[in-house]
Amino acid sequence: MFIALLFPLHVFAMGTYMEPEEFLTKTFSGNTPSPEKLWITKDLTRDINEIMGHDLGVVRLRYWDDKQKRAWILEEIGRDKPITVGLVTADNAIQDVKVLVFRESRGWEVKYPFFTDQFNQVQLNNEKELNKHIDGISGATLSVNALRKLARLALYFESVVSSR
Amino acid sequence: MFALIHKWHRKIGIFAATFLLLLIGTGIVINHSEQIGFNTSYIKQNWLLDWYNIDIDSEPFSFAAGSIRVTQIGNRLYVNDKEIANNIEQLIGLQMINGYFVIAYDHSLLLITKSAEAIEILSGEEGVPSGMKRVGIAADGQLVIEAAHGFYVVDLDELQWHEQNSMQADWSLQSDVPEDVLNILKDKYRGTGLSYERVLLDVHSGRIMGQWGVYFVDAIALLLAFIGLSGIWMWFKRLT
Repeated sequence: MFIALLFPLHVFAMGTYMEPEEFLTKTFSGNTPSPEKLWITKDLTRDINEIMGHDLGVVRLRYWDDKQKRAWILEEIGRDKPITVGLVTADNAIQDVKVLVFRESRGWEVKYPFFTDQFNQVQLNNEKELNKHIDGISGATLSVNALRKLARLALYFESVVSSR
Repeated sequence: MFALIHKWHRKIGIFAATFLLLLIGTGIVINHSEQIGFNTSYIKQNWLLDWYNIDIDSEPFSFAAGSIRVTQIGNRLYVNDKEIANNIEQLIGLQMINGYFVIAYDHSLLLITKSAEAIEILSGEEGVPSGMKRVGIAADGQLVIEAAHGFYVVDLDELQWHEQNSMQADWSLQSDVPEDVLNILKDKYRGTGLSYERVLLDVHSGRIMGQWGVYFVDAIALLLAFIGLSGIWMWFKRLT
């Protein structure tokens, strides 16, 4: 209690909440498949820019697919630093969202299930927007926006991969 | 008493109003700094960078392979003179393989083309072993990584990591940064070390002038409080 009072709250809020490897192990019940490759073509880059407001800066992305669901580990900057998020998709809907690494000093409330559970079963509409409103969190607007974008991106990738 | 308060109300008012405008101006801009992009725009003026002591605080070092030189300065990573990462801890090595380059840092491998375009970043979830120490090329041309728990021969395309007890390899060796490259990188490093938002925050709080600047802004705040209170007091006095 005394030590907790000495440190600002954000010191405890920043950090790795779940190792990406652990996220994959839990998602696939210990049988994590080998990662697949998704090449970021020009067409994909155009859509990624529309969703994220910028490109991904890479031309190849890995994801994990056990033929029933797919896992994506994606990053987006909230305010200054990247937030690493694990997302599980299946049948063009989100099954699970976990904030894995949070490096910002504010907005860490997005890690809580009361926020991430809102994404469950959310899909992408024709405008590449989420088909359900995601409630924000006061003081965490940029982190919330980052997670909304990543949810759209994961669903977009899901649609690309599942249409092959 | 009224005349005295009125006299000082006017004198202090003129003085404090000048700083009040500064506080209002900086405050409004700070509130919207993200929309304006001030949190990602950087000061270039050398006198201001010198004032903040923005300079390299650790010895730069690099690895070279083919046409590529990768350099770590502080927690930033440069490929030739292009900054590609700004929050790394330790650059481990660089190797050229199959026409592209592999940069090992922290717990990750960054694959880039010879024009320094990123292909992909691989981390622990893709199998990159923990505790990477060095990267090398084996006699048969395969990428080799020495990590905390042994040696790994790596197929980066299929992401297969074959553990070995020991390996002979041509290991990536650290080298000093050539003077001309270092001068360019120093300018770039300083040029992205201080954001406009940081300076505005410090002007707003007075911290740009050190602790005395903060006391000065405190004093202005107290004077503004006096203006407010004396104004209210005089208004009530006139009513009565």
